[in-house]
Amino acid sequence: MQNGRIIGFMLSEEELIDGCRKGDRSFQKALYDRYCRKMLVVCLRYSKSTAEAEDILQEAFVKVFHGIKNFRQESKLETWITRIMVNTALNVQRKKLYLYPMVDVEEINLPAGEVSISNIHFEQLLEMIQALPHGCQIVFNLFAIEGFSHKEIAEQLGISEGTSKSQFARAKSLLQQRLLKESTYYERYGEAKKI
Amino acid sequence: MERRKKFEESFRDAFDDAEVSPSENVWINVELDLEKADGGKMKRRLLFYKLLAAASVAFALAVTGIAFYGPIGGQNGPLAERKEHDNTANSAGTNADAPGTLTPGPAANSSTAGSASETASLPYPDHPASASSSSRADTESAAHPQVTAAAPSPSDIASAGTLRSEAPTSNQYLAQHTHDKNTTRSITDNSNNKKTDGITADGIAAGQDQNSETAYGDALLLKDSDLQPVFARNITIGKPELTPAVAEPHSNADPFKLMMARLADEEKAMQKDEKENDRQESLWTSVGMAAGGFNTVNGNVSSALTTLSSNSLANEQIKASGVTYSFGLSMGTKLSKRWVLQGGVNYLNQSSDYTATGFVGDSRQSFFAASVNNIEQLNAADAKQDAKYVPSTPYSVNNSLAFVSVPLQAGYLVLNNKFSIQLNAGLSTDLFLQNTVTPQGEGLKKETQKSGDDSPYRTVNFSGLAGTEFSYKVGQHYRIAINPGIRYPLNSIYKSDIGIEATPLTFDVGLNFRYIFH
Repeated sequence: MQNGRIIGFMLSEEELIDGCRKGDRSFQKALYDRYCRKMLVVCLRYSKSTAEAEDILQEAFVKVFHGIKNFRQESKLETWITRIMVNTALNVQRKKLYLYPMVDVEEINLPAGEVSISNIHFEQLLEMIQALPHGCQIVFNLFAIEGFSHKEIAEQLGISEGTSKSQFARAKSLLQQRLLKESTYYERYGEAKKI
Repeated sequence: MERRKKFEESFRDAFDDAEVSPSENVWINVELDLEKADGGKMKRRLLFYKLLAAASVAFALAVTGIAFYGPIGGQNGPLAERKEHDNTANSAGTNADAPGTLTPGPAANSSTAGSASETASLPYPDHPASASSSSRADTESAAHPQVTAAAPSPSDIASAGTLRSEAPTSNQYLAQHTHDKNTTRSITDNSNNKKTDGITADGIAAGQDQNSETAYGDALLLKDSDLQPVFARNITIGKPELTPAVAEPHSNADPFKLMMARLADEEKAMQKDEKENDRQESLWTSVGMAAGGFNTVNGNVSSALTTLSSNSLANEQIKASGVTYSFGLSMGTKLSKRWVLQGGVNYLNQSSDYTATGFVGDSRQSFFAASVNNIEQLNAADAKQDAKYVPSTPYSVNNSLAFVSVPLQAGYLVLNNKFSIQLNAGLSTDLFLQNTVTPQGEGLKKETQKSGDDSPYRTVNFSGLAGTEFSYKVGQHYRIAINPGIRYPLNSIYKSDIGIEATPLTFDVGLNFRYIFH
């Protein structure tokens, strides 16, 4: 098992961690195989393209393997890896935020109708999130999906709490508008994206 | 509020079990990064051992140098001391406890003035009027009253000190006791010089430390055959010449002279060897190869690129790290003892992989990998209208650059021996030959661009070189060398009008086989 290919799902979390701590490449691959698909979705939420997301995924997994020696197992491995993915993504996006600073958004047009996303495929939602402006995309992810408070987001991104709130509101508005407009997304989904 | 919460939660739920498979490249890159990091650790460990080895070598060289060059470099001191030591060892009858014994007289050293009036006598019966005044002279002077010196002159001491340095003399040794003023002055001067000029027997004899005093006493115990006429010699002050003395045919040739002659011969031989070494390896040629990696640390894509696709591609291309190899011939010559000049001709290849998300196709059903060059050409005013950029799933593209490199380096030999260490620095003129773009995707054609107007790369470029060469001589005419080094272009390898700046820093390790002409 040490030298052969390791089937990731056969191993417990502890075994995976132990193997990775020893720097065993087979265990590292097994851990990667177990979490890479889920983590790519996290990275995709914070990026504009698959290539960008894969870059983040790669960088973050390298950090995971380097940092796993210090993982105290106080949280689930998946939660810890997700946090690393988010932090890595934020580091990458922070540079872009420097170029396009986040400012308060005053005009917010919330659609009147009720919007439901229960029947919408996550890939469609992903595309909608990716289509959001940079600042909105990050704040929406951090607030709506990661569950951070606006205060925490403001601290992390070096913006004011008000900016975080307004960016989120704008993101939400844009998403709701898009959801209303593109209710027939499934019919069109699968077409080649235009660059 | 409830609606809002529901909206956020529904998003969270939607992504809960969401999964998207990444491309195979991600793991490959992760693995490469991990290996690079492991390599870095190994490099740091290697560096530590290298430094440790260098420190050990330096220490060993220093110790060897001191041990080997010490006696020759400090001829006056060590030899004088050795002579004195020998004398002291032999002076069974005399001792250093008698501070007043055998002093050169008041003129020579005021500290020994008290002994000046002592009578000199010999414990050796055959030498009733020996030059010294020893502590036991008082008693023996009674037995040999005729040889009592009124006041021991410095010449007495001189003669005592040089007893072994000349041919055997008769028992009339003391008859030659004179108060020759010149001699007295010489010895006095020598005594003032203490041991600094102690090469000559006289100097040694006149040395003013305790050991040298005992040396005088030693003279009293010498055999008859060892005695020599002191004043027949020219007493010189100052550093004597190390002329190779020819061994005298007599069996009782002066051992000191012989030793001096041997040392002088050895020194000459060493100087000759050094000169020969310096002359050696004055011209050589070598064949070598090198391999390593490169990384563009400060690549920059300007806004001159017209499209987003070419911009992101350019980013991919210039940031891609890769591997490099080179092979070629070189010549070298020694400019001086430590400096060398070497140059040559090498073929240099730099290959990197980047990810493209589209390709260029034309009406002839030819599809090429997307590269900055062909996208820029596509967007140019005179572009062929039938060619189009088509987005695709990401795929890997290999970009291989070929150069002819003409390096010229100056080297400094830190260590010039069988094992040599040389520090090199210089310039290289890199002539761009071609670049080959090889897509990994199916149906895409390999494309080769020669240097020239259509190529995005500069035809001539200059790079700075720096490195270290560790070499080992494996025969009279051969030397094998390992030379790790870096190469850094002095300007961007891309043409300035392309809008891309890339100066890849290359680190490689070369292996050279050197043939030494002479």
